[in-house]
Amino acid sequence: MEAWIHPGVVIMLGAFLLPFLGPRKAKQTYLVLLPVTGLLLLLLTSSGFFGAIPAYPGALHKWRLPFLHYTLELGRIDKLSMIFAYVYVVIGIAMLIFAIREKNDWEHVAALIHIGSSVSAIFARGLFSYIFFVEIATWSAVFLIWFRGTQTSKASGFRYFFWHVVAGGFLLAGSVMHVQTTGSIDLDLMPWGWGWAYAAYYFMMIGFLIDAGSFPVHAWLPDAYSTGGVTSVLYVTAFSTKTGIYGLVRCFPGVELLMWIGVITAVFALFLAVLENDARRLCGYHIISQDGYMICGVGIGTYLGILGSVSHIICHIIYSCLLLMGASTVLSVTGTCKFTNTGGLYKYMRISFWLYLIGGFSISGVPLFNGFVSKSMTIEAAELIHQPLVYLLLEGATVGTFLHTAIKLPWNLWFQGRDEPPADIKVKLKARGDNTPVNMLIAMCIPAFLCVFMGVYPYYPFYAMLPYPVEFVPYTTTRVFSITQMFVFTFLAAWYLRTLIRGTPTYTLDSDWLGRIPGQALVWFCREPFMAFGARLDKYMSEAAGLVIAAIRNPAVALKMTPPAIGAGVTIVLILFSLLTAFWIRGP
Amino acid sequence: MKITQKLLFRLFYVFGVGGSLVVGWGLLYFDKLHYHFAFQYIPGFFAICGFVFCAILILGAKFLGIWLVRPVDYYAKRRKG
Repeated sequence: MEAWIHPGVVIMLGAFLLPFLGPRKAKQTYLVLLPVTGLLLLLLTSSGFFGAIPAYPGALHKWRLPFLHYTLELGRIDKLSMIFAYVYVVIGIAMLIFAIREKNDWEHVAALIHIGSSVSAIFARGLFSYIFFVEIATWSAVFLIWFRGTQTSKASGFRYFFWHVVAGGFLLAGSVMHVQTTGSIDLDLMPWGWGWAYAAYYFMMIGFLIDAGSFPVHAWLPDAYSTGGVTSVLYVTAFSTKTGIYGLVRCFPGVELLMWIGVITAVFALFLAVLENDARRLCGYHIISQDGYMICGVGIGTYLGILGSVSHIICHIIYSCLLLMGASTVLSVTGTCKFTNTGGLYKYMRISFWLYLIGGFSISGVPLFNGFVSKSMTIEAAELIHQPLVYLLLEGATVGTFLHTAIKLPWNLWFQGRDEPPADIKVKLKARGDNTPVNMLIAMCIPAFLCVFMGVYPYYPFYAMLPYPVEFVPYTTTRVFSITQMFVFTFLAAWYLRTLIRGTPTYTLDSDWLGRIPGQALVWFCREPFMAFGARLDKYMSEAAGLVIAAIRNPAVALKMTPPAIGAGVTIVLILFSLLTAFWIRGP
Repeated sequence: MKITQKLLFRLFYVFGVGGSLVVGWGLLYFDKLHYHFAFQYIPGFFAICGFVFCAILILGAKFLGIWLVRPVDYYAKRRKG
C-alpha cells in the first residue's frame, strides 16, 4: 500500500467516533472538523504531496491491494475523481453545518458514512470496489430517509433500498460477465454494440441509469427525497445520483442511446413537476431533469459533451443542495413545504428566500450563476454535432426549469399574493427577524457563494479542474442575449398561466405505478386468496392426519362404528358374501 | 415613487419584453449574433421559444394530469383495501 491518506475512508471510519464524544459542542466541532480534514487531504493531494497528478486521462495509482487473482485499487487519483471528491466534501461540509443542531447522533454517523462512501466510490478504480462503496452509500441513505420517523418515510426508504439493490444487482451481474470475458476489473471505457455479446454492458448501463435517476426508472427519487428527514435526506440528494452518472462518464461516453435517454429524461420530469404540490418533490423532479442533461452530455461523447456533463454535475451538486436547503428551511420552520399550506413567508424568512433564489437562478442557467457556465456547454455540444431536436428539447427543459425553480416554487412557498402565512403556520413564527436558524443560513451561504463565484468567474479554479482543457467561452453576446430573452418571455407565459401552476392537494402518479400496483396486487394475493388456500389445505391435511392417527390407535373409532354403521356394514358384507356364494355354486 | 407591483410590471413590459425585442432586432441587424442553426436567426426566435415552450409545458402537464393526478392517499387506500 503506497502512502496516501484516503479522505473517503477517513470520513467513513471517523464517523463511528462521533457517538462516543461526550459534550454536544465537542460532537458539533468534530462533525465539521472531520470533513474539513478530508478537504485538507484533497488539497494536499492536489498540491502533489503524495505524488504529482498527471494530465487526464493519466492518473496517480494509490492503495493497491492484492485480492485473489486481482489487484484492487482504491485510489485512482485523476482530474475527474478529484473534482468530484472536492465538490462532495465541500457540499458535505455545508450540509453538516445545516444539520448541526440535530440531536440524533446516528443521523450524523449515517451522513458521514454516506459522504465517505460516495467519495470512496469516486476514487475506486475497480468495478467491485465501486459497487462495494455504492452499496454502503445505499445502506446509509436508507437510514437517512428513515430518520424522518414517519410511516411514509419507512415505506419510501424501503422502496429506495429495493430500487438500489436491483440497480446493484444489475451492475454486479454486468461486472461479473465483463470480468469473465475480458479479465479486467477496471471501471473504465466499456465496449458498446447491439447483440448478445454486449449483454454484460446492457446490465451495467441499466444499473447506472437506475442509480442516476434516469427515465423511466426515476420514480424512486421524488418518492424518497420528499419523505426523508428534513436535514438527513439532503446528503442523499447530493450524492446518490451523481455517483451513478460518474459511472456512466467512466464507462459509456459517446453511446448515442444515452443522448436520447438523457434528453427524454430532461423533458419528461418537467411535465410532472408542473403538477407537484410538494416543494421537495418538485426539487426531486428537477434533479431528474438536470440528470438528463448530464446523461445527454455523456451520450454526445465529444470533448465538449463530456466537459459539459462533468461541469454540470459539479454545478448541480452545489445548486441542488441550495434548492433543497431552501425547501428544508421552510419545512423545518413551518412544518410543511406543500404549496397549498404555505405562502406569505417572505416577511418571516427573507434571507432564506434570497439564498434559495440564487439556487433557482443557478439551476435555470441565468447568466452570472454557475448553471449558465455549465449548462451552456452541453447545449453547445448538441449544436456542434448538428442535433437540432436535442438542442430544442434541452432549451425546452431550460425553460421548464426556470418556470418551476425560479417562479413556481419561490412564489408558492414565500408569496402566493399574501402578506401573511396561514394562521396555523403564523403561530409558529416569531414576528421579528428571520425565523430560519442561523446555522442553516450559514450553511446556505456556502453553496450560494460558490454558485455566484463560479458563475461570475468560471475559469479558475472551476474550469481549470475539469478533466480536459476548456476552450469554451460561456459569456458571449449571442448566448447571454438569447437566454435572457428566453427567460423574459418564459416569465410572461408563466404570469398569464399562473393560476394553472398553483399547488393542488393531490398526488401525481409516476412510472412506479407500474410496479407498485402489481406489487400491491401480489401482496394482496399472498395475504388473502393464497393464505386462505393455504389455511384450507392445512385444515384438510390436519383432518386427514387426524383420521390416520385415530385409525392407527383404534380402527373401530376411526371407522365410527355406530349401530347404524355396524348394521350397514354387516348388510354390505352379507350381500357380498351371498353374491360370491351364488357365483361359486352356479359356476362360471 | 412607491415601488408597487403595477410599477414593477410596467418596467418589466417596457424594459424586459420591449427591450429584449428591440435589442434582439438590433443585434441581428448589426450581425452580432452567431448561431449554429438557421432557425435561430428568425427574429424573436428565443422569445417565441420561451413563451411557447412554457405554455406547452403547463398546458401539456394539465392534460397529462387528467390521467395522472390522484388523491393524496391513493396508494394507502389501495393498500388498506
